[in-house]
Amino acid sequence: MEPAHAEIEHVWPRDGRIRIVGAVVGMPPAAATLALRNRDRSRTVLRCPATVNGRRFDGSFDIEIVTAATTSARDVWDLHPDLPGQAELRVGRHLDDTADKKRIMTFPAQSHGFSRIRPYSTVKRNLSLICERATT
Amino acid sequence: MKIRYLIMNAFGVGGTIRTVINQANAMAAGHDVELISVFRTRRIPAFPIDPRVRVRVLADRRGPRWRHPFRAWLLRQPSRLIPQAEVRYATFNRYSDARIANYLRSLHGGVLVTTRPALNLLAARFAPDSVVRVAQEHMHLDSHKPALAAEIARWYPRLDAVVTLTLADTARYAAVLDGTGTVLTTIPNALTPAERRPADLAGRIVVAAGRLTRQKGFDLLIEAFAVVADAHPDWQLRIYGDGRERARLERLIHRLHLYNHVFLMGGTTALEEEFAKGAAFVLSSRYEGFGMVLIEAMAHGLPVVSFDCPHGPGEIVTHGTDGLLVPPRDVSELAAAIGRLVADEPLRHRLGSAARIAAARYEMGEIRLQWERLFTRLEAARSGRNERNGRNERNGGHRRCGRASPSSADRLIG
Repeated sequence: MEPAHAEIEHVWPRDGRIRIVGAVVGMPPAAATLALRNRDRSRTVLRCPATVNGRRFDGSFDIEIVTAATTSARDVWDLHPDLPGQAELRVGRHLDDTADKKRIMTFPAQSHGFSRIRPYSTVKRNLSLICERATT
Repeated sequence: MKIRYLIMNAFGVGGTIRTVINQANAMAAGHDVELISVFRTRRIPAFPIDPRVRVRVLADRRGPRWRHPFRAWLLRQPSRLIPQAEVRYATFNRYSDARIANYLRSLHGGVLVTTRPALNLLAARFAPDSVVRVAQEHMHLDSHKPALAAEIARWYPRLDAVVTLTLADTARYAAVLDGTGTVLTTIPNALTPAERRPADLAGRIVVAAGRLTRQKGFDLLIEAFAVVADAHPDWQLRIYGDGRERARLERLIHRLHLYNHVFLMGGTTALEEEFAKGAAFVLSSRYEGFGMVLIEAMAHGLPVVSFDCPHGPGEIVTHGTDGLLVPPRDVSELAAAIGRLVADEPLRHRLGSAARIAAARYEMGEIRLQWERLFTRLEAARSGRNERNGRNERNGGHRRCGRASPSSADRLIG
């Protein structure tokens, strides 16, 4: 049995936004916000509205809020469906049969000002964002 | 029957090598089979060889140079017998020239099967009349450079038979070998014997497989799948294989916003298992030597969509019966055909079961029978020929196709 998480169906990095569509798995479907936690500064959390309809989970945000909160040249943001008392739930893809997600499931980068932001699959099959700032 | 397969390198990895070893293994049940490899690149062959098949190497280049100074020198001299237009010209050298020519001259009787243009030409020139000489074409005539095609036209008429993979290629050879006594026939590659699970046609996965090169046309397939994913967002396309186009294809997937629907799965050693997960298979190649992967997919009962490109798909797939053929490089037609299969599960089942039956034509037992029939027929023709020649000789006549006097290659090897 996979741990409780939001199983990704689609990720849409386009038109200045990133949208994540999936299904809540292994817990009561109550997540109503999508939290972006900075991997190096775990107290920096961005919250975005999400909708839960039955088990369906749909959250999205402007890339602008991420680029604005990115302070170093290269920040990684982990995605969590936010539930009271269960902050470490992740957004990932665990229920299909492909192993090497980091290589197979790739997404394009979007630019905002001098920043580029790109969703990527982690080696643990979760979804994170990488935000890079041009340092010139 | 004594059957000898002459191959450039039985120790490597590749389509021709796999096919020839499969064939030798199958023939070993009931025949005396020898596999002669010109070169040896490693100790153990990459593909399993039946223990009944005897393996012999002609130009083994392993061993210290100082012990074989003359051989080492010959190995560095460019070949004088292989035409420069042969793709693998640079692999051959004067040492292999001498070894191959001497070996071919030493033969008496039996069937000799040669497996690439360089070897076919040498068999035509050096193997004695008592040997049934059969040349295999694993590519097609049009794929050879003009200079090589000229050599083929000059020497192949001396062969007993030329065997191609497709009827289309046989027709091309017929134009060249017309009016000669050479038998021309088509025998396709056989399926590698394996356990093949029927595909899960209720799933939502379209499968494609091949090296990620321009030839395979995956760029066209991805564009076509954009249309399919628009209408059927719960379907995905999985492309198995690796190659130098990978980064380009990934950018195309990103640009078309297909990252949720099209996946470059990388190479796999268990393609059989991946076929079994599919609901349809697509071949989008710009051209093919034969299209073996199409037959492998069909053997799993997968309905297939294929470009009707040269050479192979048009002879493997019967449009509307065991798959769908679309005009080559036509992206919108390809999208429409995939869309038809995706939308229609009963159609997938109907085409899939017919595909399974159609693929049985390529089972090893079936293909082995075709080779046996050909060899038997050629042997019979040869004994007739030898009898006639024997009479001629008794009457003081000449031998047909007398060979030239020993060349310098002979003397070099001592």
